Amino acid sequence: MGNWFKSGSPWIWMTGGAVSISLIAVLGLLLMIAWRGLSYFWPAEIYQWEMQDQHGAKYTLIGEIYDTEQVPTEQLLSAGHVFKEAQGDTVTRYLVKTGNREFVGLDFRWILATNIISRSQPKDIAVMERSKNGDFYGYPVAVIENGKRLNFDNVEASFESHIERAVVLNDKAVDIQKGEIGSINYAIEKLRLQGRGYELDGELTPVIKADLAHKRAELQVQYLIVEKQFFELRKEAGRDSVVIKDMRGLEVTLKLGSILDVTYSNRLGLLDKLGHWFVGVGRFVSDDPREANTEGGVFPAIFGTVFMVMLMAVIVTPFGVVAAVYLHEYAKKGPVTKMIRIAVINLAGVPSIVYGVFGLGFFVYMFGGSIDQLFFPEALPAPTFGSPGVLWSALTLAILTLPVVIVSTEEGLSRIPSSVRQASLALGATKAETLWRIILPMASPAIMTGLILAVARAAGEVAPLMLVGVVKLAPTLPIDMNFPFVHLERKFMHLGFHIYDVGFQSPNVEAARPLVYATSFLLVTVIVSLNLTAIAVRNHLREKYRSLEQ
Amino acid sequence: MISIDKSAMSTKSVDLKNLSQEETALEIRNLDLKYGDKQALFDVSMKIPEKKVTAFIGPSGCGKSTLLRCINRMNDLVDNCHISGEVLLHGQNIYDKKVDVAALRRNVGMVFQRPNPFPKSIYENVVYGLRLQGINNRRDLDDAAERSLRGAAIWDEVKDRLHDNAFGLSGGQQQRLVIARAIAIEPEVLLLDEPTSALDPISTLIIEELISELKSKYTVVIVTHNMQQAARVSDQTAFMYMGELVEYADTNTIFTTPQKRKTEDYITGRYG
Repeated sequence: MGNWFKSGSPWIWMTGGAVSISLIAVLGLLLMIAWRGLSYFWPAEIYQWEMQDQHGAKYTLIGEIYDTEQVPTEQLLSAGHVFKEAQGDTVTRYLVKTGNREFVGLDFRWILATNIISRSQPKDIAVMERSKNGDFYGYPVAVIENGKRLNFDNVEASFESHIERAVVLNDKAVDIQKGEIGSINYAIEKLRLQGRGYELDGELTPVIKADLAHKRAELQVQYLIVEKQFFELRKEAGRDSVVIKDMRGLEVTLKLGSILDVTYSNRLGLLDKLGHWFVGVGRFVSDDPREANTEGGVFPAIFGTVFMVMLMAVIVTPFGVVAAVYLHEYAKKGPVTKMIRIAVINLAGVPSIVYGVFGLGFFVYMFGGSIDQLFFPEALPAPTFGSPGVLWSALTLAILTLPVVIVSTEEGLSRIPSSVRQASLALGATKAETLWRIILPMASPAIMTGLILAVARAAGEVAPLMLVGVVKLAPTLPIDMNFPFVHLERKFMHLGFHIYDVGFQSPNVEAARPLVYATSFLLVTVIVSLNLTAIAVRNHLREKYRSLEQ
Repeated sequence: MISIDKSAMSTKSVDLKNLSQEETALEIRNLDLKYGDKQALFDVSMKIPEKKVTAFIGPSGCGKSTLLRCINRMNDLVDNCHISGEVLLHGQNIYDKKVDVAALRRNVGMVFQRPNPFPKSIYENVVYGLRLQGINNRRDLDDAAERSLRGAAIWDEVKDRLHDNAFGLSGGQQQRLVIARAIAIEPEVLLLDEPTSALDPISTLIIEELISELKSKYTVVIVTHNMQQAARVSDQTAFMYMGELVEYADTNTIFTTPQKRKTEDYITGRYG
């Protein structure tokens, strides 16, 4: 034993064990999030249960199993539950998603295995994804086209084509709403601000006034035309309905305009399911959210996160590098420099919410408020830059991550051998030339390392953003087709905040839970891909300037 | 006694005490240097003749490298370094306030103890000094690169891989590349700070031959701790000890009939 101890083996086991535990923790976390998040898009089996409750009433339930748990029989008994037969220690309980929210009140319910009489998987049950009120489960019976009821025993194909038609029309309508109507509204708002600007300058002559009014009238005419198109599309899309027999056995009529997709889950083979899964994932990353973020996709949040992080990187890199260059190359080595360096390192330890408060007070109110007074007086009292926005978020996070960039850049600068500096100086280069041509390129891998760490930290930061620019639902992206195309003053959506919002603030937490996992997995994926890009760039630079290894 | 390679001594020896203005490339006058409180050079005065090889020898820490670095003001980079006295390059004091240090260093090139190429291609290493001067014409750069690489006797070895990373070269090749880089900007004086101490014997030999060729175009000052090397390559030799210039004379004279006791002790290997 003593020898074994002396041999150093315990030490190797301990260190190796620490690494293994870390790896298992990270992999376990990723796998869990990935599994829970990604399985959400897999078309679930739809069951029909014949049930009998403890009072003997029979009813039918259609839905998918969401969760299964073992409940102690004692607990159920003391809750007043009566069992016909004696049970074991525990009873199985299922959480079933029944959908049909507007008809049954609860779209999730717990059922006890003891109450189930029989369970079947009818092939004809369809799951309808709707733009409102969540999923609907039932047996489609007929399509009402132009008020005419077409019963179908074998017209599922035409049913799907009807839905297809409605979806296409709805998409067109949304395009018009977001594109043309959005642009016209933007232009009208611009005109109003222009008029207000003239008024403030005291230059609002009758001629200008008439001109503005004329332009506005033109836009109004355009608007009415587009609006008419929009309503026509909407009307067309809402032409048909479908009649569905739900689990109560009643026939329900649903407008096809509100149905996004129909799936006969129980008819799907493995390949079909895989196809559905890919379509589901694709929609999740490319669609806008619906229903208070609990359904639909997260595209605006992905866009907002990536855009904000990139903006932050663009801001923080030059600042951090310049500061590090001064500290390392120009500042006299003394107590003051040392103090500054310690202060910079300590900045990294300030809680992020404090940066949020600072950003709100300094950037948004003071800085943004001044910008509004100077450049956008016509919009006041409505703020332009004087309210939280993506620019302020990026700036706040830039300050938050500045220490990381400074520290790693300095590290990189100090690793450059002095012989290389001397070589450059001896060839008649000034210090600045040496810096630009030799030192900074050689330090670029270290700068990239700083950037990688900064991006990793910034992309996961939520708390300060809630104060300086993130919102639950942003009506427009920070980049669109309206001049000047990039709107840094706009609020934006963020994956991290989206997780918080969906998971804790949504009206239907149970329904949203898989989305929390899916969004978390997406956030991790986004951060990892941002990092991998940066790491690839860094490795390329390292290869290029690999003298440091010598 | 050390044998002296006569081929290196083929040029006519000069009278160091009474060197004319035209023959003098560098003149050091009463140079004192202090690192903080510690004095490293004591009242050094000497004249370095043009287009000759001058060697500084002496035991470690004697100040020979420090003296060399005074000639292109590399000591400016050291904090707490105080210099008094004058170094005249063609009659102009390089420590004058008006002197542009970068311009001075273009005139006084330097090669360091360890090869220190930049992490760039061979070609970019050589033309670095020219690019600094704003020369970006491809043809000019190509010409200068070939001329310098030939001048440093490395052209034949690298002409097919000019755009490969300079770190792919061997130590000896790197050192010759660094010499090529130094002579690409056509300085008048070339300072070599123990240029072969990090190299193998064959590379050392090649560099020594190169030094003998370089003196046809440049004034070469070499610091070496290797007395044989000084004897082989230099025309005159300065022996330094404890920051003082003990003896400065023809290499031949120093190695055969040294005037001072310390010099004799050193070259006969009694200390150092």
